[in-house]
Order: sequence, then C-alpha cells, then structure tokens
Amino acid sequence: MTIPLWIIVTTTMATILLAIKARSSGPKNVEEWAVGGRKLGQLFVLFLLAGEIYTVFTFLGATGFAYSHGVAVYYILSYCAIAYSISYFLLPPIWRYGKKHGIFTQPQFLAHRYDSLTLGRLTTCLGVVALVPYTVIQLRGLGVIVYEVSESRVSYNLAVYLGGTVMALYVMISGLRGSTYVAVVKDIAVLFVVIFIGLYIPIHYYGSVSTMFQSIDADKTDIMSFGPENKTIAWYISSVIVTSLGFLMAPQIFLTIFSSSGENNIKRNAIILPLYTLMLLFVFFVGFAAISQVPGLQGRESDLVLFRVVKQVFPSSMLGLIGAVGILMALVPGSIIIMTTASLISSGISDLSRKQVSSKSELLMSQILVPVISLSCCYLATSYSGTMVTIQLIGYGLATQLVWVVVAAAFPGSPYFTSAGASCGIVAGVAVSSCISLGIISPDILWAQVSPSLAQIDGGVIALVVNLIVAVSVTKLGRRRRSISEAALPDRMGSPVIP
Amino acid sequence: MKLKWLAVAPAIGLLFGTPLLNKISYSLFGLPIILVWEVLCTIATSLILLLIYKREQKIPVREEAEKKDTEGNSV
Repeated sequence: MTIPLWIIVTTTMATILLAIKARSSGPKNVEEWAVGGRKLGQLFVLFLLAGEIYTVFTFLGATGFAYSHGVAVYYILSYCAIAYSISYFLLPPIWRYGKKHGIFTQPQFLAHRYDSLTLGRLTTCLGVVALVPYTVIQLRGLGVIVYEVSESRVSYNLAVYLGGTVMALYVMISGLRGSTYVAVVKDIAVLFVVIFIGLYIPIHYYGSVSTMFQSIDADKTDIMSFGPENKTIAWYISSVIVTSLGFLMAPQIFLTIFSSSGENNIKRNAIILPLYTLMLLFVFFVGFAAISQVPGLQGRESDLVLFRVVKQVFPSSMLGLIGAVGILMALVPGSIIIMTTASLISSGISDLSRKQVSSKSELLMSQILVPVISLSCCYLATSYSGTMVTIQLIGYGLATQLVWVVVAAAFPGSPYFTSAGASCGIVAGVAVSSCISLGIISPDILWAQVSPSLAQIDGGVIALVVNLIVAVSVTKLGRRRRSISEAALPDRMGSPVIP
Repeated sequence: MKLKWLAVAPAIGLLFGTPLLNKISYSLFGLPIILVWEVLCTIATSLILLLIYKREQKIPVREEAEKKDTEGNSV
C-alpha cells in the first residue's frame, strides 16, 4: 500500500474505534439511538449541523463549481446565511413540539400537527425516496476520492462498498452518538486542511490571493460575472431562494435538531453557523486557482478538480491527509442520513401496523434496516451513471416541497392548511419538480419566450408555486364545503371544529 | 418584537445586492467587491441574530426581576 492509502485506512479505523467508544451503555430505545436521548449539548449539535454543509459534495462540488462557473459559486454562501436566519425562527418551535410529544422524525411531526396518518405516510415515503440520492452522493464522492488517492489501485466499486459498511457500522454500534463523536474530529480536521490548502494553493501559483483574482479577471472576464455566457442573475436569485427554503427541509436536519438538549442551543447555532460557512471561501479559492492551472476539465470531471490541483502541488503524504478528510466528510453525513432513513421506515411501519410496537423491537428493526439501506445505496452508487449534480437535484427537489407544510405547522395554533390541502400540495409540487429534474418538462424554453433575462430560472420555483396554489385551493375548497354542510345542519351542536 | 424583522435585511442584501454589484470590477483589500459584499452580509446575519438573541434573553430576566421587586415591596 502507498502512504496516502495508509493514512486513509488508519483514519477510518481510528474513527470506528471512536464510534465504539461513544457508545455509553447501549441505547435502550429508538429515541436514545436516533436522537441521543435529546441530550446533546450545543457543540455537538453545532458539529452535526455543520456536517450537513461540509459534506463531500461541497468539498468536491464547490471547487468544481467555482472552477467551471466562477462567481456563481457565491450562491452557496448566500443560501447558507439565509437558511440559518430562517432556522433561528423556524426550528425552536418545532423542537419544543417534538420534545413535548416525544417526536423525533419529520413525518411524525407532520402527522401529529395535521392529525393525519395519511400525511404521515406520504411524507415517510417522500423522505425515504429523497434520502436515497443524498446517501448515493456521499458514497459516490467517497469512491471517487479513494480511487484518485490510491492511483486507481482500489477500484471505485470496492471503495463504495467499504464506505457503506463503515457508515453502517458507526450507526449500528452507537447510533447518533457515534456519528457525533466522529463529526467533531472531522470538523476540526476539515477546518485546518481547508484553510491551509485554500491559502497555500493560490500563493503557490500566483504569489497572493489578490494577484490570483487580478489574473483571472485579466484572462477570463465572463466567468467572474453573472451573464448569459455563465450563470444568469435570474438563476442566482431563484436558486438562492429555493435552496435556502429547501435546506432545512431535509429529514436528517429534523433528526439533528431533535437531538438538541435545548432550544437556546439551536438559536446559538443559528448565530454561529453563518460565520462558519465563511470557511467555504477557502474551498472556492482552490477552485478559482485551478481555472488557469488545470484547464480543460468539463462536466463530471470538474468534480475532480480539487484532487488534480492537490496532486500537482503537494507531496503524496499531503494527498493522503486531504483524502482522509474528504472521506470523513462522506462518512459522517452518510451515516446520519442512513440512520434517518432507518428510523423513518421503522417508525412508519409501527404506525402502519397500528399495534403498540414495543420500543425495544422498534429499535431492533431500525438497527437491522441500517445495513439493508446502506447496501442498497451502495448498489445504486455503483450502477447509476448520472452526474453528482443531477442526483443532488432530484433529492433536493423532493425535500424542498415540504416547505409550506412545515412552515405552516411550525407556528402555534392550528396550521393554515387542512391535511388534505397539505397532502395535495406536496403531491403536486413533487410531480412538477420530478418532471423538471428528469427533463420531461423544460421550463427554460418557456422562459426564453417571455424574456431572455429569465433564462436558467431554477425549476424549483415553479414546483413551489404550483405546490402552494394547490395546497391553498384544496384547503379553501375543503373549508367551504364543511361550512356549507355545517350551515345545513344548524341544530347540530357544533362549534366549528378546527382541524 | 419588531427587532426580528431586521434579520430580513442581510437576506435582501444577499439576494438583490449581489446582482447589483455584478460587473463592477472595483476591488477592496485585494478581493473583488462582490466577494467582500457576500462576506459582509454573512457577518451581518450573525450579528443581527446575536442582537435578537440577546434581546430575547433579557426580557424574561427583566420580568422576573420586576416580579421579585414587587414581591419584596409587598413584604
């Protein structure tokens, strides 16, 4: 084995040991296992939430995006900052409700709030389907890194299956606690590595960061501004809106916030996390530096830009270190996502059977589901050949459609939508968003006829608007029908029952 | 509390301010102005949320203090 490969293997082994050590006395029920008994302190939740941004997708994808679209990559900073300010107001009421009613998944929350098992089942299915692409992306990123770092000695498929096994191990042994301990180590390592390479690489090539920007400006002006040759302004605004709304709707975010020991922790994290995202700047710098240093990478290859640059600049031991950090960035979020999927399915099944399932057997069911889910995702990651961005778009597009329903449910009082309205809105939004991401509908042609400046508007905008219109009209229709039937029966002792 | 609406300001700055700075090639501290703007808005987001948080934390404490005061007076 080569030195970089040794570094990766040792790091992975060490994190498995750490995950085993994190196991306190063995979880007794799903709540203990999936949300750490709601006892995680602020720092742990911070690292878990931060882990959702610093995944392998951002590590490889953000450098690739900065490399191929220049200035457009700043949209990541924008949507993160906006999403965190939304989280400050949106998440504490959800956390409070979850604690009061012993809820730890997103479908449970919605089913409880709208008093509708149908909505719960719908969102369970949606959540499971949306989470698969998230996992596949982490596995694919991991496979690519191992393949690159090992100089193709380890095959991509083998790397994916090994990675999937390690993810399953973390959570089967010690649940969320295991992933949390590894998350802390991972984030500290990421912080150092990212700042170091983000400053070193521009200085190595150009002498300083500002000369790098001057030289890009002189060489390629169109990449450093929005416009028809690059991403348009319409693309920027619409993508930031859709992504910042959808960011908090991912089912694993709910799991993470329910693990928090208090609502002030969530608020304090919302304050710190925007500053933490500034670390992404250094990732962008690597991508910018690569524009003229490793020219010619296109499409899927642009995801490899980070490793191409690192191989050019650093000795092989540094390559191993960066590879190890990249792998941790895949393992931690991947394990949390797999665990979320397992708890969604097991709590969904126990709701369906309507029988009181003992907490012990629900836990066992979740733990058995973990390797099943992980292996199926490995299979998908090795057989599906689409680009990382397409996979991400499908998953994100689905989860984003929950935004209106969740926002309406987060605030006290009965939610604005009826459960029928909520379900119909979600179904309509998901249908539109899937058609767009699979390329069945292409809104770009439509926009181009209205005005060329509207080109590249994010398809999610249309899906969200359709979703809202359907949800509101079904709700209004349902209320009107009910009020008519109530008017027809005036003698029935009915003060209007709010659903 | 009206203060919380202040949190909208950096969001608007990020959404609509960034496109306005497009094609302005002026640079500040050696960084393109559009990047400096993004960073400033992100920092502003944190600061405004911190301000709101501090205010929120103060209110219940003050109410409690007033309650204690009145109790103390009555005794």
